[in-house]
Order: sequence, then C-alpha cells, then structure tokens
Amino acid sequence: MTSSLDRLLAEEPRRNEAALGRTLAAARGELALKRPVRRWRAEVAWVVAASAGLGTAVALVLMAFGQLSVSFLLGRAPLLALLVITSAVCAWAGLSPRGRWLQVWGVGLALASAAALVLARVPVQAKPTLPEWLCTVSHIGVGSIPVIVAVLFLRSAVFQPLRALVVGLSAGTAGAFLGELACGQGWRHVAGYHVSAWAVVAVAALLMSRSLEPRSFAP
Amino acid sequence: MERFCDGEQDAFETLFARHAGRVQGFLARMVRDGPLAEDLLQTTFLSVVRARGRFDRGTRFTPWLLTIAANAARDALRRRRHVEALSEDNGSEPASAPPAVGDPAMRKHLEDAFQQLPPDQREAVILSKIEGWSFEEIATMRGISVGAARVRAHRGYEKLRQLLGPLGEA
Repeated sequence: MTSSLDRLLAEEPRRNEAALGRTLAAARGELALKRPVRRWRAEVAWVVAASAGLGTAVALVLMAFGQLSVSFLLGRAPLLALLVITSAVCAWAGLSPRGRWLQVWGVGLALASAAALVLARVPVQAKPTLPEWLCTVSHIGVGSIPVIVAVLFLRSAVFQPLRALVVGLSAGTAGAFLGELACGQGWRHVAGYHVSAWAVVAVAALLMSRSLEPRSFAP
Repeated sequence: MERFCDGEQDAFETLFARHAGRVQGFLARMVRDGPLAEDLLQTTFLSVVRARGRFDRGTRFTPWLLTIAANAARDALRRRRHVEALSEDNGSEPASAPPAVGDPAMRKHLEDAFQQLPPDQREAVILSKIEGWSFEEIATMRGISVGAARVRAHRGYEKLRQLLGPLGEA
C-alpha cells in the first residue's frame, strides 16, 4: 500500500517554463562560443607531458652542459621510470570521472615513490656546497608549470579535495625528477628537502583548486 | 549524448527537452528557492555543455546529469549555510496545522519538511524515492558505501514521516 508520503513525493513540482527558456538560451549562448571539447584523457596526457616533458628538458640541458652523463642517467632510470608511472597514475586517477579508488591508489603510489627516492640514496659525508633549501626552491619552481596546467584542468570538474591532491602529486613529480638528476645528497637531504617540496606542490594544487570557481560541476 | 559529444548541437536540444523538467524538479526539491534553483538549472546545463568531454561513452546520461545537478546543489547549499551561519538564523517555521493530501498547501508543507532534512538525507530521499535510483547508484555518485546510502535515505524518509505527522502515514 502506498503511503500519503509516497504519493506526495510522487507529485511533480510545477514546471517553470520561463526558467527553462532562459536556461536553454544560456546553454545556446555557451554553445555558440564554439569552445573546443577537451576529453579528460587528453587532459591526463597534458599533465603527464608537462611533468615528464619538463623532466626530460632538464635532463637534456644538464647533458648539454656536461653536468649529466648517459651512464648516470641509465643508473637512475628505474627511479625516473617510477616517477613517470606515478605521474601518469596520479593524473589519470585525479582527472578521470570515475577514479575514487584509483585516487587512493595514486596517493599510495606517490608515497611509495617518495620512499623509494629516499631509500635509494646512500649517506653522504661531504658537506654540500650550496644551501640545501635551494633544492626545495628548485623543486617548487619546476613544479609550478605542471601545477598550473593541472589546476586549469581541475576546474573542468567538481572540486574534490582528494582529486586535487592526487593531480598535485602528479605535477610534483617534475620536481622530484629534477632532484634525481641534479642532486647527489644523501637520504636525509632527500627526505627533508625533496619530498617536502613534492608535498608543498601537491598541497598548493589542492588550495588553488579549492579557491577557484569550477567551470563545471561534472563528476 | 554521444551524438552531442560528436559535435551535433541539435542533439543538445533533444537532451534538454527530454531532461530539463526532471532536473528542474530535482533542484526545486533540493534548494526550495526559485531564483537559486533557476541559477542551478543553468549551471547544470552549462556544465553539460562545458564538460561533455568528461562524459564516458556507453554510460547512462540521466545519472550523469543528476550527479552534476546534485554537485551544484550541494555546493550552493554549502555556501548558503556558510552565509546563514554569519547572519541571524531566520529558520522557516513549518505550518502549524498540516493541510490534507491533495490540498495545494500540502506541497508547501512537504517542501518545508524537506528543507528540515540535512542535505545529504534530502538528496538520498529524492534520488531513491523520486528519481528511482538504487542505493548502489547513490553510493557510487557520492563515493560512500551502499549501506551508508541506504541509511541516509531511510533516516531522511523517517524524519520526513515524523515532520509530516499523520499525513506521512499510510
């Protein structure tokens, strides 16, 4: 037997034809702008390209100035590959419309990658010639370009903190890439000055994304 | 929707004609504020236009559309709560004497009761009881467990029943 409440709930609210007309006009106006349609997979590719592309550019510059040898690069290849994979998984998880569980996995993978970066370093006795905070600043500086790309794409969907954080982690791999290529300090330095910079980049993406009005509320 | 994603703008008109009334009803129940509901209706369809590249082919359009509307409504309610927290509470009083079913005033009474539900419960009741969503669909949309979706809908429904008094009974 249907209760009064069920019958009440089944009643349709009155249609507001004027409001529907104005909404259709607004949507037509938006369509008339003929903005290009961006697929979310293309957005993932852009974020990964921004991070990995920047890392590759840094590697080429260092090689051109004789600061980096091919053998050194090959020695770091497993960690660099791990960073590219982390960037791709995190970007996919954050920008995919249905990636809630993948987002958790993305954070986990980023943590594992950060741990691998720290554990792969051997203790160094020599005093660094440059201030250690320079690494942090460089990381954040390099990460700023992918972060801007990531935040722009995050605006195309409803704001979700975990989504923004995981895309920020993807963007932050650019700085970690730089750290692997240009810094020979020990694990304490990597943990204190590299990994923290990665976290700063991720949190910056989260805060920027939260402060901006989304262009759409799509999942 | 797939035709619209492929660039056929006429397909949008068809989608709008088919679904706009339903979204309007959903938003009217969610926010009970004419101008805000219209604003959210526009936001929802502008989101469809702007984010059509985020629609996964092969999935159903209606849940995607209502998810956008629910996201927009939640965001608006959150902002409104924030504003109301800063100003004096001018809470709307429910009607003292509930009118009979079929009475036009009954709709207002139901709307008053709806607004007294927490937004999460209101959304769950509307989606499960009015839109016919399964608890699995609500859970997927909100990123919660199926049990949590069921509890929200059940608590919201029971609270509505209490608020409506004898009219909520069978």
